[in-house]
Amino acid sequence: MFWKGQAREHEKDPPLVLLLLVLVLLLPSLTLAQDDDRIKIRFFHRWGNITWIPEVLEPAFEAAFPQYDLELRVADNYNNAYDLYTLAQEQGDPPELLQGTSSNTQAPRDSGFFKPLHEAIGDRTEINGIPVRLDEIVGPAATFYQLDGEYYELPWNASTPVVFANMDLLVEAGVAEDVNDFAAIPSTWAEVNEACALIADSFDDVDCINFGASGWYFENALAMQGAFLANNENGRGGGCVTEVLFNSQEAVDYLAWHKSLEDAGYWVDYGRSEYDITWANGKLAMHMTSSAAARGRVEIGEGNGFTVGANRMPYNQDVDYVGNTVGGGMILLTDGLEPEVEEGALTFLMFLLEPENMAAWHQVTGYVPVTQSAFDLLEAEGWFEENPTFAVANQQLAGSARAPQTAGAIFGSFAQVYKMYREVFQDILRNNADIQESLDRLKAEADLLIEEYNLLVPCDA
Amino acid sequence: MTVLTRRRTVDQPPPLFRLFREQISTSRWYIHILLWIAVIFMGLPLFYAALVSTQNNAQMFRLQLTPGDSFNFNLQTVLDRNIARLMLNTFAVATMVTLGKVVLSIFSGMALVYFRFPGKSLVFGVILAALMVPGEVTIIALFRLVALELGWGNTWTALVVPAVASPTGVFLFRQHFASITPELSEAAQLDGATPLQFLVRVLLPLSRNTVTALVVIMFIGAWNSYLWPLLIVTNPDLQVIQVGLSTLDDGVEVGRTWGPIMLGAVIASIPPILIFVLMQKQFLKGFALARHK
Amino acid sequence: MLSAFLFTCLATVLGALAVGALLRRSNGLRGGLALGAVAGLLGSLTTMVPLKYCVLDPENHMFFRLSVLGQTITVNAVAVIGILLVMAVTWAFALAIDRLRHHWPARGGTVWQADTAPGTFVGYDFSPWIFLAPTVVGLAVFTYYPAAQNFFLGTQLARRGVANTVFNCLDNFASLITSRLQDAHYYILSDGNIWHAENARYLAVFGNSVFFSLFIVLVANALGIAIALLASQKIRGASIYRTLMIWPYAISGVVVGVVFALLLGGGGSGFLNQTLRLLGLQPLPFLSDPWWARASVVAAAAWNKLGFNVLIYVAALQAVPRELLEAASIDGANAWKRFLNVTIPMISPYIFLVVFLNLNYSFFDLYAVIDNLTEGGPVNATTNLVVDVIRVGVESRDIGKAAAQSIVLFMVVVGLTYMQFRVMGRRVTYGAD
Repeated sequence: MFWKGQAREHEKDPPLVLLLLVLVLLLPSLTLAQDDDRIKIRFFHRWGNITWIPEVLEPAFEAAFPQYDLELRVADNYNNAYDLYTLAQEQGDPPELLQGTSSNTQAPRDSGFFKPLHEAIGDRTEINGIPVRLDEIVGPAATFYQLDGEYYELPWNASTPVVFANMDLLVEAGVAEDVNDFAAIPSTWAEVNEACALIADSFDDVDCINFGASGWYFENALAMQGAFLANNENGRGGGCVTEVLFNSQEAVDYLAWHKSLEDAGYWVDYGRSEYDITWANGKLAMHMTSSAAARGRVEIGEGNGFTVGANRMPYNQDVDYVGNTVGGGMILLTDGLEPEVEEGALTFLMFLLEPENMAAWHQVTGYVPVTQSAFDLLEAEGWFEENPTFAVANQQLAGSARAPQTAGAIFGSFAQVYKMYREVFQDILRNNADIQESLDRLKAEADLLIEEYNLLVPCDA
Repeated sequence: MTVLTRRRTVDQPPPLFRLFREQISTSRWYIHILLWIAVIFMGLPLFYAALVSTQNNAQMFRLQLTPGDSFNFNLQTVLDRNIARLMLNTFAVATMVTLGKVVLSIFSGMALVYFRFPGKSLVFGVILAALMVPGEVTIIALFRLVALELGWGNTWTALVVPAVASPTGVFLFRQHFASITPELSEAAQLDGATPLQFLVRVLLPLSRNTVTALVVIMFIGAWNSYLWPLLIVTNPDLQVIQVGLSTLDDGVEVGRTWGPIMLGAVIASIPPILIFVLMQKQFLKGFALARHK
Repeated sequence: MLSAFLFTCLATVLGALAVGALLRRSNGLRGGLALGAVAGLLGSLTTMVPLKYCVLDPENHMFFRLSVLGQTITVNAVAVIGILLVMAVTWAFALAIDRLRHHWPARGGTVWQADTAPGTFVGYDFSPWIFLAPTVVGLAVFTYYPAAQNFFLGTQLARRGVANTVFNCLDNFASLITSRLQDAHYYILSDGNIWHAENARYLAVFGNSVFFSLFIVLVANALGIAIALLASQKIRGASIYRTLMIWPYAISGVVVGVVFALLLGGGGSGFLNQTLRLLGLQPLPFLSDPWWARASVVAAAAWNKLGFNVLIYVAALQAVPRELLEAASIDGANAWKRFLNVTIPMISPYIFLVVFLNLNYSFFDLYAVIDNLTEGGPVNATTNLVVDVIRVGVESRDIGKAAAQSIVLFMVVVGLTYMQFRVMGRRVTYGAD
């Protein structure tokens, strides 16, 4: 029986293995690339879903500088981009430019992979005919990426936390007079609680406010109150960071406020990025997030028939306001490039700072126009008047002090510490962990991480 | 070749495929209903994903249960993200891995059954023990080895070469060859056949089901592999579909667009589902479940 | 230096006593003692020399507290792990020497000499080596070498992207049982707890893995058998039903993850929650509540595996001899009794097979599902062993701790494999997946 079955198959045996072999032999023909004598500039970024970059920016750059071939590579988040870049470095063939993130500045500087921007530019005032506009960069976007007054990276996609509001809901609840009254969106901690109380009274199924578990808001909350994130003035005061200051009174106050929102049911945690759906369905009154989300927020509002307003990140009304920090990302220049390649990479960086390009980048996303010239251009066009939702971030940063508090902390395990913060934050909100105790513990753990990092990579400041 | 008889047929369980003969029906409507519920339960997730792949976010958010009007936009989005290239890459890598595994496993299985050499049981033990070490256990050190010491990161070599030695495959073929009567190879030797001639003319035709089963398992496994390419390949021109799919889902800060993600998910699932469903019978035939005392 | 010498002596003496007692039946008193002494010496030397006897250095400590029956003691995790390590390696040496002593002279020939199985090709001395070389070399380089490398990396403070590494004894392992702050506290029958652990982060991750495995196996097998019972009935179109149910096996973890994120998406408005709303029910926090998120991962993974299980169980059920079932019903057994007393025992080898395949899957292959469904959150509630290895080793770049975690993972595999051999070694072997 068994044998018969096998014998039958023997007769009609199709050479499966041979078939596969043929397919494999055919494949290399598909991967042949065309030759090109332009200088290749590879830019590793994380905005695969912003089509403006490949569809407008890339052709514009290549038209202006036909000698360069800009090649875009995409990762799905900043961490991945840096991991993938590290891998490419380890193989000796790194992309020329990498988009990094504000929550991971020092580790890349320690890695030796990158060339400080100021060293690459030197004292030149133009690259390939494009003016160097670094001195036009405004506010915390400038100080965040500087050490001792010199740029290490190029600020490009800078953002700051702002509150977006469904104005129709605010009007219905009596928080705002009319849908264009963005100033009525609460801008202090106390005002948020008051507005949420009104919203809770007016609706059964509307959530008042949502914001993520990101360390970024915590960082901003400390900076707004003038507190440092780490010792030695965030590592910018002439000594290395050896400990974080996560358990300061300012930190406790911020979390106590957040906890009060959660306790009252005003703040709702949606888990992973689900605020979109609630927002779209008109069931979320306020959403604090990156100003870079402006385009997305506004479009969803338009698509679902409600007006989207924006106002600054709420601050502690009991303490003098110092300033917000920037987030988002910057662009790093790979070290050890051939001079003509480095020249091309620098050209692209300076191209990004050109007023029209920076302005368009802002309009497409909501990222802050980091140069004064781009801002002036937008203002002259009347952009901010027509789109007040986009104006808030700039105003917030313009009103922020250029101080070490708003310039970000300098230590290599920053990204890891950020992640730990997120866990503790959830523990406080969800499990009612004691705020001061949790922060004391977080600080102690973070300090051990810093110690470990400094053991492997001695800090020489 | 002359008349052959099989030994030990008594010990063999009935081959699984014989159990799948179509059976005559008696109509019991409640079983049909229960089965349909099960079928819908199993099918719902991918069916809904297919539905959303034609919609935009607004249509999805209001739970529209008819196809939306954004299929073309979603398709354009995934094409812009180079899904065709990703699919081809995956096909190439999965094919090479599968081919390598099958060929090496056949040779190893043959060596372990049809040759005498010192240390045979030790070698078999060493191969078998590797079954105990899933890739996840070694992934950190393997990454350092392949990326830093060998410098293979960002190449298909890194995706293919570490994967081709397959203890599962060796074990499968060794068991299969051991179940074939030794009189076959004795007859072949009497006819003056070399081991390779024996392999090509006798063994392979007898192993079609085992080869198919292994091809199905290995191809689906390779097609679906995610973690290793995620770590080791950075060049989008060389990347595979699973990683590309998770790159489509990148909008946490600016909001997700579900349509293209779901379209990508559906496209990425078609090849393995087709292979599995089309080859399920051969797969079961080769999936040698053997009871022994 | 002196303490190292004393430690080695102590290990030798204790090894002799312990092994001598345990293996005295097969070796006699004197033989057992000698064997144990050799094993103890080898066990302590092979572990402590590479570690530079660092566990003896009081500077190397990582404490946790342990309360048993109301008594609290402070334990040095580094020392505990060091001692357990020496004991385990000593025992391994003892077993190996014992086996060699008893089996080598009699059957050792089969290890090195060619067997005389019928049907082998004569006169090809090199061919088998050529045939085997790619596989053996491949496994040596890409499986065994990295596995060994893990043991070295586990003792280092090492960071991805930094060339420099610093030896840190067993700290990476110790930090798995206690916390970096050395404030883990285990309660056993103390303070009103039968069992309770504080500040033991990795234990929670381990718990998640166990949770996932238990429930995935439970759900995927219970549903798998139930559906297979239906699908193996004699009805029209049975093979069509089967085909319509088994395909999820072929779907990747990434697709499962993103599709279930679409279905379960929290915040009240994913497919399932919208449906609940339409039915007038409250939405559920599928991905934002720790326990719901765990349940969501189980649901997604079980769905993924269900097709495969149905396939095997249908085959198994159809192999159950009809006569047995008929005999049972003549004896007056109802359907449930027949299922319990005839069907289950008949298909039990297949149940063991599927359970172990599912166990392996849920311990080691969930990364893609979790990464695309919950990203390990909320608050690590769905972070399992493999996700944590990647989190620590790749995202946090802490290679040393990730290597230590990989070794824990390896111990899980060894445990599972041992169980597998014990439970089903003699009953069934499988050749695929």
